[in-house]
Amino acid sequence: MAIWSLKGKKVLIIDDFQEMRVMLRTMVEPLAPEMIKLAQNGEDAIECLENTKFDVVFCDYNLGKGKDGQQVLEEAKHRELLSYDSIYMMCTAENTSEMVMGAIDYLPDDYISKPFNRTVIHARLKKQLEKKENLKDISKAMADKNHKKAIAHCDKLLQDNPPNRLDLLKIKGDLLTTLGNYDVAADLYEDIIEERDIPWAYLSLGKVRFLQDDFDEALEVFEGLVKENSSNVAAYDWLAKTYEAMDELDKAQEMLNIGVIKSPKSLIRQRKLAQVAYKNEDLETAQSAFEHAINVGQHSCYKQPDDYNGLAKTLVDSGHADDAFNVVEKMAKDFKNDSNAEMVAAITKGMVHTSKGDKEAAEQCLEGAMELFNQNPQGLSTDIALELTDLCLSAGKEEDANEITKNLVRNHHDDKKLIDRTKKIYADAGKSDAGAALIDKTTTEIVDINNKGAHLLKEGKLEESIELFMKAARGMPDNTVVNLNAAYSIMMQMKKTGKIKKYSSRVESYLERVHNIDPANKKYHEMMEMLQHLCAAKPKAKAA
Amino acid sequence: MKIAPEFDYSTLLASSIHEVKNSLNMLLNSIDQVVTEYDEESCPAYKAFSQIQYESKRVNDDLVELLAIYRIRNNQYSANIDEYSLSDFLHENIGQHEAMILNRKIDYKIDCSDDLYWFFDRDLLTGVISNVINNLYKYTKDKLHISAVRDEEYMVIKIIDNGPGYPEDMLISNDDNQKSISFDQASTGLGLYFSRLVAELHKNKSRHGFIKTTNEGIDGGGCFSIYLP
Repeated sequence: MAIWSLKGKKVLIIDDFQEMRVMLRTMVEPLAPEMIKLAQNGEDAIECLENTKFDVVFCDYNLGKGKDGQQVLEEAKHRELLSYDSIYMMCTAENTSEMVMGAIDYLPDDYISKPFNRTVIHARLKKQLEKKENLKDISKAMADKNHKKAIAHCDKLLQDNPPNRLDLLKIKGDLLTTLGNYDVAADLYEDIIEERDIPWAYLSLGKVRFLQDDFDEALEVFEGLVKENSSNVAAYDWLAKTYEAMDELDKAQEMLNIGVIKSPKSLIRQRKLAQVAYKNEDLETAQSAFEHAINVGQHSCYKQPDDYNGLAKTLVDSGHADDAFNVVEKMAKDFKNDSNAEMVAAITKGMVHTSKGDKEAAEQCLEGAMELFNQNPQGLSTDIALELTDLCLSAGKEEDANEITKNLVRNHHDDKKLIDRTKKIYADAGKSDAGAALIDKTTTEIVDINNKGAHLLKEGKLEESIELFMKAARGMPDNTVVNLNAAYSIMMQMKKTGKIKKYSSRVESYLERVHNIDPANKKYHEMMEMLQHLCAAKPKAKAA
Repeated sequence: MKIAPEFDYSTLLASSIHEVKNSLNMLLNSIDQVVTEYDEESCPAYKAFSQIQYESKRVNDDLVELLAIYRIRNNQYSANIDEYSLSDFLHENIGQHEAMILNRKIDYKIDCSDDLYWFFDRDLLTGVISNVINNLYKYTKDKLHISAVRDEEYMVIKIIDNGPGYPEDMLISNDDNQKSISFDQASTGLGLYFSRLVAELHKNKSRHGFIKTTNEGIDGGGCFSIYLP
């Protein structure tokens, strides 16, 4: 009899076979959970996860039509439907290696191969519960984005040289890398490798070398991995990424091709291949990869209208403009009630009409797109925004083009590559001077705002500075510098007032934006630490 | 009906095995239930059920092996090597065979230190152990001992019984491991071939895994060992 139980815990069982669901329920019931819910497909499962915070999820990998088990996991984690201490068990009738290969962002806590019986399920569950308990403090700190604290907890557990030492070192290495402590992380991985050839340690070391811009070293590590095991898809992904960073796009495409052959089910890998092939003007590969991306992404939370746009562009370039219209139609069907997708669809359609020389129809599409753009200027990815600028310029709608460009520059004034691409679009349209002037003017505006705010801070005019930066951040929500400044000015205020919930959550949301735009931003971690420090401090006593 | 010229055997194989395994899974669980809840007195067909249980487990394990071999040979298998507790792993493997072991009244023993952790592909090694145990049912008198220990640069899992032992042509010594692995129905059989492939797939610092079969079990019974670096 079990001396431990699932008392107070909520369990979700996802399987497309009715008998399997019932069987699993009978296996879990003796552990006395508070609730057992059954779902028969991925869509049902997501609905359950939206309504209830589950502690344990059993999910079959193969769920028939619709989302598969990995996509359910990705969406649940991506949308934060599962908390950090929940357990996700992937059940499968097949071997697990293929699933591990396909997964990029999120791995389940454990894989269980069918057939399994009650004894095995109970043993695995117990093991996972113990593991979560053991890593509780670390996970909590990570969920709070307090990476330093999480590292401290790792070190504390590592002191006793526990059996799960390597697990802890892996977590610590990831944390160090996130914090940008690349040298320390690299040392940690090299120490592990000296002890034993562990593929994840090599892969992580390669990543660190990549982040240090040491591409040659990174290539050597990743090449070593694929030489040892020609099925290491993650290593191919990183080889591609490294070659791309080195501007060797042919080689990047070659690596992605291998990865896609070995593990075709990943949307992100297919998308990357499509984009690189398009840049390489290998339209055949680009078309096939965009089509695959759209197909495998059908039920994924990562699906994007940009892939449809990419496919349409590829078709236009290869002389199949009429097929491109079908893609636009499919986009409308696949993204219902999504105004961003509607905007991308209008732009794409405009692009196809432009290519066919149908000015009137193109103009109509662009007008529609601009209307949507003005309602939500942040809805477009930078690539599509540039495309829209280009289309507007060639349709003689310079004012519209300027609006889009201003918005782009405001949000990305420190992204040199993007600024150069924008300048080139204006130059290609024969408006090189006008473009450069507009970009310079907009950049100057932002620099001025930042300087003015910094000056106010220096003078101790905190409230004025906060007001200025908050207003700026509203207008340019994707500008990292402005967001960092807004966060900083509010924290200066908190230094005086002590922790005030309203302030700290504002700071958090500004920093969150920075982190989403640029995960490797160093300032982000400094300010996060500063915020945690401020929040930990005792509230200031009221002045007498 | 037109038949497409390109025929992806791997996909067909994988998807049919998926279907078959799902059915087998249900079958196995139902039989496990019958065999655990009843005995020879309460169920006249008990012996037949227990035979069905044994054979379906074998079919399942053979399918797993076939698919794994196919993928390994075609370089489609990416070993998923991670660190696991040997004690947990062995208990889980015996747990999978619980119903059979009880039913055949086999006296089993698991010998493994709680702090022994090692690196291996859990799915593949489960296949290897399951295969050895399936065969062992046929030959052992009534004993099954499974153990795991560190042996210098290797971790060794040993499974022994008190049956008549391996026939001469199934004994695999260290020298045999130097030879390249080929499938030879007459001498090795599917199970040992699979075990050797799996062992070979485990590498560390230029060392490869290997297997040994001897008759140093209990009272001259079979002894299967797999060495993983």
